[in-house]
Amino acid sequence: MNRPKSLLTAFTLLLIAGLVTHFSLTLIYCFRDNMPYKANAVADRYMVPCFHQNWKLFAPDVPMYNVELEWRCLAAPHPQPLSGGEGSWTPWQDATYEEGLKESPRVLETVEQGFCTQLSAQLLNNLYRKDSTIIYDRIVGSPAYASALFYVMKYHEQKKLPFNDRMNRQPVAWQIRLRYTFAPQPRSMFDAHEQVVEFPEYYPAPR
Amino acid sequence: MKKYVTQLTHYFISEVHGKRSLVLFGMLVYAWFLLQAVVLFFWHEQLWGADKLFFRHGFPDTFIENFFFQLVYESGRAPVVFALHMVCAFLSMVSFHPAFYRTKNKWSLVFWNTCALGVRLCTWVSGLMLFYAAIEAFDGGMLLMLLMAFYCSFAFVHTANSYLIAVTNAARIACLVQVCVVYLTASLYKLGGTHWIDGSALYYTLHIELFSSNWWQSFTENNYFITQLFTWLGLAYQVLFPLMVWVKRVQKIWLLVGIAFHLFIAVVLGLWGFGLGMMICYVVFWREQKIKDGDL
Repeated sequence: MNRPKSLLTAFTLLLIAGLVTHFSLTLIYCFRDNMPYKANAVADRYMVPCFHQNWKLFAPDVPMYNVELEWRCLAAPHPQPLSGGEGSWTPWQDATYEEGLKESPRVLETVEQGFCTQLSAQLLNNLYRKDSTIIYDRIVGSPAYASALFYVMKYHEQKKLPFNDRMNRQPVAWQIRLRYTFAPQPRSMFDAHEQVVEFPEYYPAPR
Repeated sequence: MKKYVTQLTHYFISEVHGKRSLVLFGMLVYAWFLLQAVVLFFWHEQLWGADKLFFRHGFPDTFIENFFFQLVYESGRAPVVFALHMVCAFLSMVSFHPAFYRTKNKWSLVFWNTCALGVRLCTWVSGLMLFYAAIEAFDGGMLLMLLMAFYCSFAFVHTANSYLIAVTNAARIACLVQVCVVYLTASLYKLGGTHWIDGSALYYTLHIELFSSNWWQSFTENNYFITQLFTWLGLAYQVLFPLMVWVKRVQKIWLLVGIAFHLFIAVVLGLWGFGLGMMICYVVFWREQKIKDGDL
């Protein structure tokens, strides 16, 4: 074996130090829930956006339910007014439902599930009661709600709603909801049961 | 101490370890990107086009964030980045072929290695841009392959330069450690929950419509013990992977079990991107003698 030159040795040691630093920061980032704030701040600065990673699919627990994002919209009575309250709501539909297709496209179904997860987290953390009334203000102000609403509005704007063509009307209000189907407990005699959480109606400003 | 430093540096600079498996691994990583791009081509308008389906979030206003998140704001650049990504993924895949490096001219080698580094980094950067602009459409497979693409950028497999050999070995070690980090993180989080411990995790997973079918749902209800058994086996595999994969005696069988495990994830749960990505990562663990000369 040739004795490595000192410069090459220094370079190699630098590489090794780089590897150790990189994976130390990776581990801090991966286990950020259990790390001190200052360590997270340093790791975040290094890891986002170049080395972002998240390996927590189905961890620590698997959701005990199947969840679907559904939407409906309110068609304004023809020809005016364009403010809400009148007209008729469409039936609730799956967010990625497409006419003529047996199943929703996998890519869009993955997108929908991402929104469902974010909205479920919002329900868990930001839904509260005030004088026995359920308050959604934190949820409707969240990026998760905005993203889900934007998605259904955009997707179905592109797909052209049936009454758009027929009556040249634009929806004046939108509403989304999450439909949870809870899996039956293993070895239990009970069937799956459903629960629906409707978010407040959204009236966009008239164009 | 000096002895250990010498041994360590010698390991890094003596030769490119796992050369053939690294070539195959690098080719497969970029082939994965190419395949993914072809699949997503039909959805590029909805995911990255002017009328894309994603709400534009705010991000920290720094140079690096502005650079990597630019497609979130500037969807007009998406077709160029998408095309660049596909072309660079193809060129990166080809860049591992030894034919380009069969020259004794030093400057030719420098040229080809620089080109290889350029197209591989370009695949990584464009992949990151596409990922952040449609983050909801991707699973862990894209994250894993992006990391591998970054490490593989520095895999100069066909080189005689000691510095580049050291960099290549570091890149290979990074790939190996990254796979262990995936298993370590996933398994430790799972150990902190209850579903994996009581064996109901697979049962509940197969009750999520996106990852299942009616047949699998009724199967898990009628064969709950088998479902529990596979949950525990899956957990044990993930917990033990970072240790067992280094044991020479069991490595081959361990990786074969892993291939079956990830085939299940790909075929049954429908997570093709992640399943294929993990199987590709196993190639880098394959020991040199397992791939015969002339296979590539």
